[in-house]
This record gives sequence, C-alpha cells and structure tokens, in this order.
Amino acid sequence: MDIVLVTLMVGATVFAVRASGFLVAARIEGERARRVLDSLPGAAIAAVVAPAVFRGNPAEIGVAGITATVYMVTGRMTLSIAIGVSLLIAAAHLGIV
Amino acid sequence: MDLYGHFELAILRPPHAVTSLLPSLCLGPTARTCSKPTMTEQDSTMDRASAAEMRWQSARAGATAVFGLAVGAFLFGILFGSAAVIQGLSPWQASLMSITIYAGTAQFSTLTLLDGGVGVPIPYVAIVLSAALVTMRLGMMTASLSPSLKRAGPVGRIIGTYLMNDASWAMSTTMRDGIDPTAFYFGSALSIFVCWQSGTFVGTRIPGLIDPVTATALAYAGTLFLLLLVCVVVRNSQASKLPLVISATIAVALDGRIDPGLAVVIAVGVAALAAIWIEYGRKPRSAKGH
Repeated sequence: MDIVLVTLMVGATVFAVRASGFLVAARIEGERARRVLDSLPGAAIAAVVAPAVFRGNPAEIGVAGITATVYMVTGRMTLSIAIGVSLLIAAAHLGIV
Repeated sequence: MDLYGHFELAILRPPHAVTSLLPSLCLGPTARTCSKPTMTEQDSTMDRASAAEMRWQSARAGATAVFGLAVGAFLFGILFGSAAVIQGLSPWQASLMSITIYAGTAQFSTLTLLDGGVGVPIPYVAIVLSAALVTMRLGMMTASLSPSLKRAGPVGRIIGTYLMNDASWAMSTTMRDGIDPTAFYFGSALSIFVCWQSGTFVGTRIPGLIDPVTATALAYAGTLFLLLLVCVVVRNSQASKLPLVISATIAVALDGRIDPGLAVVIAVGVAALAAIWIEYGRKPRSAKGH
C-alpha cells in the first residue's frame, strides 16, 4: 500500500471535512439557528468521550471524575490536566490500571 | 453552481451579507466614497497600533488558555510518532502524516487501518471514509467559528480551517469582552499545531522515549483531555446543556451495539433535534396561560 498516497488522500479529505463547515454556516441565518449550530460541536465531543470514559476500569473512571471535578471547581485547565495525568501514570505504575 | 464554485464562494469570498455592510463600516473598496469624517493621520496610526496591540494580547491569551492542552498535544504527538515508526513508517512519512492530516483521531485511525492485520490490505476508500467520519466534528467547529475565521481574510480562512482542533474550539467559549476572537483562535490553534508537530518529530526520533506502562496510562489521558473540553463547554457556554447530555446518554447507550462512528452520528443528530426544539419548539412566555 502506498503510504504517501493514502496520507495525501486522507489529508485532503480531513481538510474538506473541516472546510465543509463554511458551507453549512453560509446557510445559517439568525441568532437562534446560530445557537443550534454552536451547540453541535460540544454534543459531538460528548458523544465521543462519554462511552470512552465508561470503557475505562474503575480506577480510570475515578481519575476522570476527580479531574473533571477539579476543573469545574477551579476553572484551571493546566492544574486539572496535571492532576489527572499524574494520577493516571501513578496508578499505571502501581498496577491499579 | 458546481461544487468548486460553492467552495470558492464560501471559502475565498465574503458572503453578500458582509460585503453589503462594508459601505457603512467604511472598509474595503467603498471606503473612498464613504461619508464618514476622515481621521487625522495621527489618530489613524494610534488606532492601528491599538488594534495591533489588542490582537497580539488576544493571541497570547489564546496560547495561554490552551497551555495545558498544548503540553498534552506534545505528549500525544510523541505517542503518534513512536507508534508510526514502530509500525514501519519512516520518520518523514510519520511527520508528513502529522502535517498533512493534522487530526490525531484520523491519524491513529489511518495507522490502524494501514496495518490491516494478517497482511490484508484495506481499500483506500475505507480508510478515507473512516477518517471523514471520525473528524466530522471538526466541520461543525469550523461552522461554529466561521464568523471569527471570516475576519481573517481569504488566506487566513484557509489556514484557520486547516488548524481547526477540539481544544481551540472549546477554549473559544471562554473568551471574554475585550478579546479579539480571531487572534485568540489563531494564538491557541498555532500553539496546538506547533506542539503536535514537535511531539511527532520527537516521537519518530526516539520511539522508545515513553515506557510502555506510561504509554498505556496516556492512552486514557486522551479521554481525560476530551472530557475536560466538555467541562469547558459546560462551565463557560451560555447555551443549553440539554443537547450535550442527550448526545452523551445516547452514545453510551449505543456503545458496543453498533459501529462507534454511526453511534456518534445518531447521538449528534438527536442532540441537534433537541437544540432545534429548545430554540424553536418551546412556546414564547406571552403565549402561556391561554
């Protein structure tokens, strides 16, 4: 299989997917329609991440809960990431995950 | 109009709604006939300097907002670069993939399908369609941020489109007054881009940099990052959270029962219907009580 050809094809496809947003937005008029449009990316991320969270083992799900709680309380992204990743790595090396 | 014409119109030329506003804004080709009072050269220079300073500060704010996520992008770039080299790609092929595709989900998906399993080649079409499906949300993000991207001009729009990523879209919901949204976006997007490409480069050169145990832990870290982006939206967006809850619930319910990509499409579709109902379906308060 030609890796370069596949890479270029996938790259062009992904760019086209990104750019397709302009075609959709060009047909959106009004504040209410824009609010509907603005709610979709978050829903898409939630649809991807929710199953992934629950596919983890109990320790990983616990770390996810702690990380999300830290961010919702403090609003500090870097702190939340540092705590979450540190807990995951520590748990992995302790054999918990 | 053919597909290329639609693409050119949408990407390279401002829509009519914008160009019709130009005379009243005294911008663009109609500026010479504008009836607005002419500013002195000094006022014009100071305003341009202030605008440039605001854009610079906004870009810095964007880069700062995604700092933690950019570090994550660097680590995942290392993971991707290492995985690509271990699978048999050369370092330059891995870097080409990162630069050309520039979407982690699609890159890992492509790597997996390139591998095929037991020497079975996967059709090119299947690989391309898989990439399109897993990056569908990037198109929604471009649509959502299109007002900011349109202000960047034709070339800026193309670059901004190429750079679109989850973190930059999510952090755009945290912008406050006094921030130039276009500059904020580019500050955050360029930070993520540089870190991702740097990580890929490092990963291809030092494939064993991250030990297997840590690499296993970082695999779930990707889920943590996306979860945090959902938290960003929940915490900062003024919009209803119901579509998001519905989407997550349906996706969990369908997990393991149907193709994951199809599950996302269904979940987002139902969430879109919910969002439409919220905006259009509920009766106005003046109509209640009849």
